[in-house]
Amino acid sequence: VELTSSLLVRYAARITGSVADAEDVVQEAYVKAHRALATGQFEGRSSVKTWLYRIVTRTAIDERRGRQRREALSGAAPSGSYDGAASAEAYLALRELSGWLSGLPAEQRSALVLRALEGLGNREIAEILGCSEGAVEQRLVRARAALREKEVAR
Amino acid sequence: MSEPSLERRLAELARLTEPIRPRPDFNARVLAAVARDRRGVWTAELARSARSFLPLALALTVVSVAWAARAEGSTDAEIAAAEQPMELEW
Repeated sequence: VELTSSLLVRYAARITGSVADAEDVVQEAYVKAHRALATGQFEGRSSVKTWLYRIVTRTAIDERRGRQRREALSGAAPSGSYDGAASAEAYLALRELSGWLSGLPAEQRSALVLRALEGLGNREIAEILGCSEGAVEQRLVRARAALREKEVAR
Repeated sequence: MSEPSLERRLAELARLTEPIRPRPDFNARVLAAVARDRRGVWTAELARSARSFLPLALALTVVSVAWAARAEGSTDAEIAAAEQPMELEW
């Protein structure tokens, strides 16, 4: 936990747009990972880091979908208030990133964050997202095209 | 936004969000959550194991009751036999 928590919380924050949500996501991911280790579900085919990234990605996507559903049902605006867990500068950057990525499908968003912000290679991203390297490249191209269109429309 | 400026902005956002860290008590909270989950998993596993043994326990109960009823019957017969008058020849 000590070795990976900073890395994973930062990644989850870049996906969810909030440090508090990221902490919840990563905590849940660690519980799932521990359960998988205890029941022998981790086969060691990928590195532990890649495996944890994969669990965090799925948990973050589920959390985001659940939040969007709750917000749609209650009619409330997205929360995203400053929770003091990051510097004001990082908070503003997260807000901007979240606004930018908000229209992208979960798979494109994850691929883009893993590539452009986490600096991972296509092979590692493919392992994390459970798809081929070609599919990763396709998602990246589509995500970048969508972001460019969004900027033009502004 | 052109490709280079998009990449530049993403790189800038990566740099700005780099200092993000979990709160200081985060690791302790994770370990507590894992311990809580382990207890929950253990209890669920115990209940699951108990459920799988339920048919066997029921069968054993039925056999025990049948055996006890049969044993009681034969004991009654033996007592009754013991109380019959005995004829002794001298």
